[in-house]
Amino acid sequence: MNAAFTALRQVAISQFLTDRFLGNFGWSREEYHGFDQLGPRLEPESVSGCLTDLVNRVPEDSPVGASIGSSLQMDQFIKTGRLEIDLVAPINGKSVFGNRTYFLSGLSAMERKIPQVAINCLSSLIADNPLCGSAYLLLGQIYYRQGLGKLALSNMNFAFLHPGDFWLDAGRSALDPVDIGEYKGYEVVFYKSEFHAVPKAGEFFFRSVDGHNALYHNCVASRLRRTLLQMLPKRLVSVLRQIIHSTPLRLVILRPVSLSGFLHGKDLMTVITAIEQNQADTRMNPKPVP
Amino acid sequence: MREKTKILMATAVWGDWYINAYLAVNLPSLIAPGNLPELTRGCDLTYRLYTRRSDVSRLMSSPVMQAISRMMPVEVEILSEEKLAHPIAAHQWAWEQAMAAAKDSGRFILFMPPDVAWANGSFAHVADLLAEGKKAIFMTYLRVVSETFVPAFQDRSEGAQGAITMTGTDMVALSLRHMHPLMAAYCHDSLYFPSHAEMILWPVRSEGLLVRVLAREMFLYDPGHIGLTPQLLMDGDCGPREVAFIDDSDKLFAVSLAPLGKDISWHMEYRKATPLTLARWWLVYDSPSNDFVAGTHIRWHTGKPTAKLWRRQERRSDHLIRDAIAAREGVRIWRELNAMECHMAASILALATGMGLLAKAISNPSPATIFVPSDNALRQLSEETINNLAEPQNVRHLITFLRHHVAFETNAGASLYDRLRLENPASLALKTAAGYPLTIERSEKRLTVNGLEILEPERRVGRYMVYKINDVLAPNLAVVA
Repeated sequence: MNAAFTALRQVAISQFLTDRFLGNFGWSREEYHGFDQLGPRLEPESVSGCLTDLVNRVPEDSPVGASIGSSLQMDQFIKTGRLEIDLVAPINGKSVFGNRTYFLSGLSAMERKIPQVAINCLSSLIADNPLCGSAYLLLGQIYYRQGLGKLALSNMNFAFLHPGDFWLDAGRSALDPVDIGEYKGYEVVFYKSEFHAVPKAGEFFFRSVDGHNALYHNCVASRLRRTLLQMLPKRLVSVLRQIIHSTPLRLVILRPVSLSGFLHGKDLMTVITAIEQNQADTRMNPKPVP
Repeated sequence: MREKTKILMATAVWGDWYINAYLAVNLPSLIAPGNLPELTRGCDLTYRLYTRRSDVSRLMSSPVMQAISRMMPVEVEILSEEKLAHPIAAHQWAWEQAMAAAKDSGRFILFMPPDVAWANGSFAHVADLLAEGKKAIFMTYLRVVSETFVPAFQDRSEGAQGAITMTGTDMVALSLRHMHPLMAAYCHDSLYFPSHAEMILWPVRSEGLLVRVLAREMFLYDPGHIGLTPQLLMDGDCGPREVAFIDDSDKLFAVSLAPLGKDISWHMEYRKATPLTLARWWLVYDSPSNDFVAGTHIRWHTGKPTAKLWRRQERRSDHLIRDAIAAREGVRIWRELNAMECHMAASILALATGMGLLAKAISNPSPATIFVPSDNALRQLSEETINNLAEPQNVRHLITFLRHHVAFETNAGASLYDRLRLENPASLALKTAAGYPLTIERSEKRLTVNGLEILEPERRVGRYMVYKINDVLAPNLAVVA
C-alpha cells in the first residue's frame, strides 16, 4: 500500500512541478511532452483521484495511515499554502500526523503571523525530535522578531548544532524535558505540553543519564556550596563533580526532582511574564542578607 | 605553429539502456560537423572506451563508432564482471584510470558521459577555449525525459552519415518541451527544492532559463596542472585566464538523458532554496573554485535574449547567491568558533547568519583576519548587552559589532606571527570592516591587537585566519540598549 502510494505521489509531484514551471514560463500544458509516455490513467486528475481512494482505504491512526496522512498534508500545504487540519494540541510523542505536520503547522502559523501557535507547534516537534534543526531555526527567527534576544541566540545555535531536518528520527524519548533556552537567569524547557522555567542558580540543573534528560537538585546546602565554589580552584571543582557523578555519592547528593514546583504555563509568553514578575518582586522585596 | 592540445577523451558505458542512448543520441550528436570534427582540427584526440566484453562487438561495429574511429584512435578497455557488479565504483575506477593515464602522458582529460546529446558547435567552442590557453573548462547540462526526448531528437536529424545536427537554440527549445521534472524542482521558488542543491534556475518567460551552479566537476581539464578535492572538484585557485565556465547555449549546450522518476527522492519533501539550506550543501561540496562557478550567469535561450528580462533575473539570482555565500562562510566560521570554545561568539554569529544579516555585515567575503572574543571576554559584558545585540531594533549595532572584528586584506593568508617575524616590523596596521584601525604588536612571545592579548595561535579556516582575543574590539558596545 505504501509503495503504491509513493509511486502515485511521485507522479503527482512531478506533474505539479512541471505545471508550475509551465505556468511561470508562459507555456500551456499542451506544449510539454515529457509525460507523453504516461498512460491516460496517470493524467493529473486521475492521479489525484487514485491518491484519495488509497488514503480512504487506510485507517488514519495506523502507522501507514499516519505516514500517508502527513505526506498528503505536506503536499496540500505546498500546493495551497494551507493545512486542512486543526492545529492539534501538542502532546509529547502522541501526535497523529507526526513531526512533519507539526513543522508545517508551525510554518503556517508563522506565515499567518500567529507566533504563539507557531512556538507551540515547533516546541512539540522538538520535544519529539530534538535534532530538528529546521524547527530551532524557525523558533530562533520568531524569538528574534519578538525581541527575546537570549532565546533567539540559543535557538539559532541549536539550529546550527542540529542541522538535521524534521524527517530524521531522533530515537530519543519523547517524555523528557526539552531545552528551549535561557531567559533572564532561568532555563526554559518544554515538557508534557507545557513550558517550565527553572532558575539557573546552580542547585537545580538538567542532566542527561542513559539518553534521558531530567532535572536534578543538588542537596548540599546552597550556602556551603557557594562557599566551596568560591574557595576551591576550578580544576578541583571539576574533579569533585566527576567524583560525585561517577560514584554512589550521586545518589545522596543529586536527587531527581519534578518540574511541577517551578514556573510553568501552556504558552511561552505566560512563562516569560511570570519570570519578569518574579524578578520585579525580588527587586522590590529583596531577601535580607543573612 | 602552436602545438596541438593533446586530449584523452574517455567514456564508461555498458548495459542496454546506456548503449542505446550512446549509439542513438550521444555519438551521432558528437559527429555533427561543429563538434568532434572541429575539435580534432585543433587538438590531438584519443578516445578510450571502458565497457563490458560482451558489449564490445556491438559498439565497435556500429557505423557511428566507425565514423569516430576515422577521426581519432579508439582504445577499448574491458571492465571485469567483478568490477561491474558495483556500477558506481566501476565508473569511479574508469575515471581514475583515465585521469592517471592523461596525467602521465601530459594530456588533458575529457570524461564524456554516454547519455548526453550535444548541440552542434559545442566542441568548436571548446577548441577555441583551448586555443586561448584555458586549462580547465566547466559546463552543465539540462536534464530531459529520455523516453520522450530521444524519439523527438532523432526525428530532427538533419545530418548526413548518421550525424544529428541541431543548433543550440533549437535544442534548448526542444529540451524545454521534454524537460525532466527535476529541473522544475530546481527553480528558485520551488517548495520541493532538491536535497542535492547543485544548481538553481530562474525561468525567463518564454525565452529560456537562467542557471546558477553552486559546484561542478570540471568537464575538461589538465590533470598535470590541476588537482582534485575528495569530491572530485577543482582544488586550488586558477585565474580567470586559465579557467572558463561556458555560459551561453549559443556557445555550448547539452542535455542529459534520464528516465522519468530518476532521482525523484531528491525532491519529495518540503524544502526551499534558502541561503542556509544552500550553504550547508555547499560546505559538503567545498572547493576553492565554487565562487567562480557560482558567479557565472548561464543562459539557455530559445532565441535572441531580451536583454532587460535576462538582466532582471540575473540581478535576482545575484542576491540569492550573495546571501548563500555569506551563509556558507557564516556556518564555516561558526564551526571553528565552537572548536575554539568561543561558544558565545558562535551563538552571536549563528544569529546573524540565521537571520540573513551576515551578507549585510560582510558584503564580500574575501580573505580576512578575524578576531574572536573569548567566552570570558563576552561574560565581562552584561548579559543585557549581549541579549540586546540580539534584538531587531539593534540590528545595526549587531552588524557593526561583527564588522569591528573582521579585517579584510589580501595577505590574510599569512599568519600575523609569521608576518611580524619575517618582515620584522615593529607593528602591523590593519583596518576593520567598520573602518576602525588595529595595531598588531609583538611583545616577547605574545601578540597583541590594540593592546589586547591574542590568546592562541591562529586557526586557518577557508580563506580566513582566526585569532582568539581576551576582550571585544567594539568601542561603542555600551550604547547598545
